[in-house]
Amino acid sequence: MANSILVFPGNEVLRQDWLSCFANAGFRVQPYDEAILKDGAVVLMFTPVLTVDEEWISPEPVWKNFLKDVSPSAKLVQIGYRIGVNLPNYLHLEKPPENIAGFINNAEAAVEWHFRDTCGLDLRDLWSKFRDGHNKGGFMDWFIVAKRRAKIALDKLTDEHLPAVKVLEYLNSDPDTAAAFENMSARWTRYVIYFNTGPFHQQLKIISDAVNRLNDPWLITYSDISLQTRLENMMKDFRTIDEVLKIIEPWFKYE
Amino acid sequence: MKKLILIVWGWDESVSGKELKPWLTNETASALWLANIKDDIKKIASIITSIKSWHEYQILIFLHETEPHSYRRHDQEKLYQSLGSAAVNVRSRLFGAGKGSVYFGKNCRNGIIGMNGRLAETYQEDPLSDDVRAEFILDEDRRIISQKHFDYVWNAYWHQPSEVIFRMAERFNRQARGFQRKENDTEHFLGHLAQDTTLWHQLHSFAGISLDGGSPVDTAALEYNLDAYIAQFSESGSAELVDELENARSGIKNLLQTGTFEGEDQTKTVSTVYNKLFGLHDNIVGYDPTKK
Repeated sequence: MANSILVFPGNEVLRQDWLSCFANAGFRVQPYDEAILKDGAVVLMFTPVLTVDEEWISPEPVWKNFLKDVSPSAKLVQIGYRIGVNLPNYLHLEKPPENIAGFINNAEAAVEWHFRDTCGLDLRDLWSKFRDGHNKGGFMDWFIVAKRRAKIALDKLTDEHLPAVKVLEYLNSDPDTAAAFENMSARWTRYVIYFNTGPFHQQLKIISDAVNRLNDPWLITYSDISLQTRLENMMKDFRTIDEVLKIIEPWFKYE
Repeated sequence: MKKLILIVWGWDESVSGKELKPWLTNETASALWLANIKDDIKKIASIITSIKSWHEYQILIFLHETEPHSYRRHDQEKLYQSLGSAAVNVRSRLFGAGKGSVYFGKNCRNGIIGMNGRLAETYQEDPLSDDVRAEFILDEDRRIISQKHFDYVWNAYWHQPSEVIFRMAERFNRQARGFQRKENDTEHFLGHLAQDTTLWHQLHSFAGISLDGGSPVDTAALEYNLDAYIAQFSESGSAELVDELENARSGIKNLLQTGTFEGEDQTKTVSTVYNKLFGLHDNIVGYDPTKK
């Protein structure tokens, strides 16, 4: 049986009576960290989660999808003040139960988890808004335009052997290209705040780092890096983003 | 009071006007203004204050939350602050990504916003069917629009009591749950709640009382005052909801003055407050004014 309680969000401070309850039962309480998540772990969830831009997010379905995949016997336990919640994985915050070990033992594993709707914004809906947007304004719309322009520019250098200055002219000639890069970055920056209420932070960091590199003043060539190298690095970042998005997308699916 | 809707979005200039001009309903007590302003709350506030007799309107402002406008909740607070005491008649809502009944389309035939920077005009149910036309723009030259669409959007967005109660209940939960209550700890408990100044202002607005020293609450908290919701449900004939709202108000006032909601054991106060508020939230969400 697990002896660690992983608390999410990680900056939540448990009351002393709860800390004592867990300690007396032999559990170690730690902030949630994907790196230490093992099969059979117990995650204690304080949801909905308030983000820095003042939105309340209900990420439970995404957590369930993720854990079904990577740690199906892990347990997700909601904790809150709602009375009348008749679910095996719900702890009432007012007072710790007498037998916390028994409670955890009887809690459902992630693969069969029934959770209380915490009435915040559904993280799956936010993924749809992020990805598809409205009227060609989704992340994938900007991503495709930006990637296509960078690929054409690289081909002009390597296949058509145009001088760098001409290729830069090509990139500068269409203001929609700059808009695609800016909007792609802006959209990711905005929505990653919400995706961070989910469990897979390592993948999100990979995408964030790639998006940040792509949003460097991309029309400027650095003296020690040729335009060709710059464009080749950009194509790698586009591929990375594509691959990681494909990995995380299933975790946002509706049942 | 007259009603004004301002929608900040990517409008086509032929619709918003090169110099901003309103669209009016036949009743002329309702006006629709359209502006395309990116990331500039002060400019939005100055549009409002430049409208003739703007103080005579209730004003509903829609801020586009996706690119390139990217407005957020803190922008709404800045807007209220810019408008000062007149913000009591102003409400702001974020919108975007085609979601919500402010958009005209398959899911809402009484919306206002269309496609490609235009007002509600047509949409296609499916690729094989004819366009469905909106009866929204009644006279394009004279800029006359349908009162029905205007009222529909107004009613859907002006009052959002369930949203207000949800946000305050969860904020209270988040702040209060880390505090271990003991006997005679009211002052410490309230001091702990006050550390979240947003929550503190919301609670006082909800209770209908000034802050310590008689200061008014933040303009952003004005929407948490229950008077308008009590009036709304009185008008629609829901005596039960009116009673619940008034009990909730009285309970929060009690909390701020004595540290308990209704005299319960202090160790149960947080749970009592949270469940009373959420019970009210659930009843408002489930309320159907057509079933009396």
